[in-house]
Amino acid sequence: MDIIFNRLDENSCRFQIGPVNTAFANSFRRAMIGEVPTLAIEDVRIYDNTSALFDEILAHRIGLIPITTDLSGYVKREECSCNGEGCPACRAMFTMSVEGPGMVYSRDLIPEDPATIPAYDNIPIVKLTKDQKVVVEAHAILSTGKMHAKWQPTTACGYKNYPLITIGEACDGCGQCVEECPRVVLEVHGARVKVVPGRIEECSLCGLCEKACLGSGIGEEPAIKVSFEKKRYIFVVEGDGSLPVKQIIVHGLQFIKDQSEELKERIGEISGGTGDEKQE
Amino acid sequence: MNIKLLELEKDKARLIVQGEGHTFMNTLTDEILKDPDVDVARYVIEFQFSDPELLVTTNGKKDPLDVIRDACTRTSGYCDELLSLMEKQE
Repeated sequence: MDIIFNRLDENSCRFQIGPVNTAFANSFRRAMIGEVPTLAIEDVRIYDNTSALFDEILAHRIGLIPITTDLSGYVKREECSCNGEGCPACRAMFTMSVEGPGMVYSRDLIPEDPATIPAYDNIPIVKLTKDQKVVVEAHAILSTGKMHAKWQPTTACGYKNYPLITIGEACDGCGQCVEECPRVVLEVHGARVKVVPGRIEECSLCGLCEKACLGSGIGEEPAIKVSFEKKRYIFVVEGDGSLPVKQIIVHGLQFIKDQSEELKERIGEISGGTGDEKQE
Repeated sequence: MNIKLLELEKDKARLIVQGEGHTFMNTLTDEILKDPDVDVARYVIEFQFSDPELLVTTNGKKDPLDVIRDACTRTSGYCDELLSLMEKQE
């Protein structure tokens, strides 16, 4: 099994992974989107809101702001030793007090913990005119994308099959497929067509080259065939700033592993028991 | 995650896996099907947010619960391999 990174930045990456099953690739994608915990504002105490937005709309917008998360520093509210009352271990506090005129930005959310800040400081929240005020206190908690989209650590997370382009003997180098390709993946080389080195991954498997080949009167079968490698996938993962993408990938894999281990344990408990299972 | 065993025979197991969804069950079922001694392996989520019910049938040579455990071990192995590759990544 291998992972090969084309691009790995703080917030986005592109990698290929193989050989894995389709089901595993999909589970991996779903885990990265919906099961990796991150911080987002959940409770907003509104002390003063004379802006143009209703309280709940303001609270909704504040909740969607991505917050830099240190997963080792926070626990989920349900698992916290404070029994859900709220303490610095399960909750990050922000305060905001802005008077118009002007635009309220995410940088106006003052954090209690200087490491837990909005990921981007220029997200507009609401526009205020003269004498309009917004004074709120916000609590951020750790949860998963399954609960609400504000807790999704990714903005883009998808995969596609690894393309496979085979050019047969019948190719006469007419170049019709090269012109048709919307991704500039092919080029004419001598008397044949070949894939531009390094651009095979850009292929979107659209099949326009095959149609162009048939249209050029080559016969019953096109000389160029587009298919995909069955067990190799190209992933593109983009974070929203709350977690570095490498952490998102690692935690996604960790989730699948933890669930497998837990299921093994539970089954062990059942089958290790003295056969007192329920029979229908 | 909690398991409720509905049926257990020498060649069949039906259990409810509480608290899971497609994210885990699809990979689990796919992995169970790789075993050549498995006849039927499928999971069904009756309504949205219902708990999935897993059905595994074997040809009698293996205990269905062992089959599920082996599938979990293999899945865990793939994750471990990928995690160690990620660690080596700078």
